[in-house]
Amino acid sequence: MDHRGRVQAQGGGIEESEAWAQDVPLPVEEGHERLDVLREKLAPREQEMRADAFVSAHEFIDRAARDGGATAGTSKSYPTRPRRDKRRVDVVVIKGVAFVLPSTR
Amino acid sequence: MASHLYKNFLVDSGEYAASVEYWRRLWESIDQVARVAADWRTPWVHTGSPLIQDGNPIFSAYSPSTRRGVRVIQFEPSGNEPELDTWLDTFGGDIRDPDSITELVIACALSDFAAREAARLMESWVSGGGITAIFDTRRSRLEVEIKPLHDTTLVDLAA
Repeated sequence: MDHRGRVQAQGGGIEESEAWAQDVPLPVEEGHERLDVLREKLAPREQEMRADAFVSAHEFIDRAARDGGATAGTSKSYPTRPRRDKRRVDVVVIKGVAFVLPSTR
Repeated sequence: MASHLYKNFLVDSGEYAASVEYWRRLWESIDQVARVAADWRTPWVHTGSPLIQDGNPIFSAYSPSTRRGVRVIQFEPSGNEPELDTWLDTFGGDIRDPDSITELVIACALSDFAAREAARLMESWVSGGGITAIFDTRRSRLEVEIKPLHDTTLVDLAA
């Protein structure tokens, strides 16, 4: 698979992720869907405590898409000012490109 | 009270470049023998695109031989107190994956204090030690416990 990555929620005793591994770059809308699926895996309280982190992660996906996609080696943690309990949402692109617009596919 | 540096780095491209250079020079001050012996390389991971200058991360390095990495996230100061946090994570797979990199993550508002403590953490990590770090913001003190390599574990500092 030429394109791999994951979004994950960690900290506070939680470790959940949504990964992708495919032959074509992950479309931006699927990146957003991965975050939504990840969020739905969490209990409501965990969702609430990571609300800002998820917003920031979605914003990053849109920003990356405008720049042609996030390339391999992308590693983001939100919120950037970490919570004391380390609850966070990470966006990682391990291989290839992710979050591409329809025109770039 | 912290002496913050490049407080406007997210809105001033000159300060952003200066921040990047600051961390590069700080990294160069870390044990050169240990860095060379373990073939540490920089940069490693990045912000997603050269156009994205959000300090997330501002610096990174990794050693392919020890499967260790360092990632620094810089954020804007929220006040006059020092702000620094640290944790361990993995890149490229979970900790059971032999291809994964175990990374030391440091998130901070850049200040003399944060730089000094970040350097201490990096020194230990590069030299093969494990880290347990507790940062007491009330007393502006970072307590760092250095452990032998085989004791390295992922530590949830909030636990």
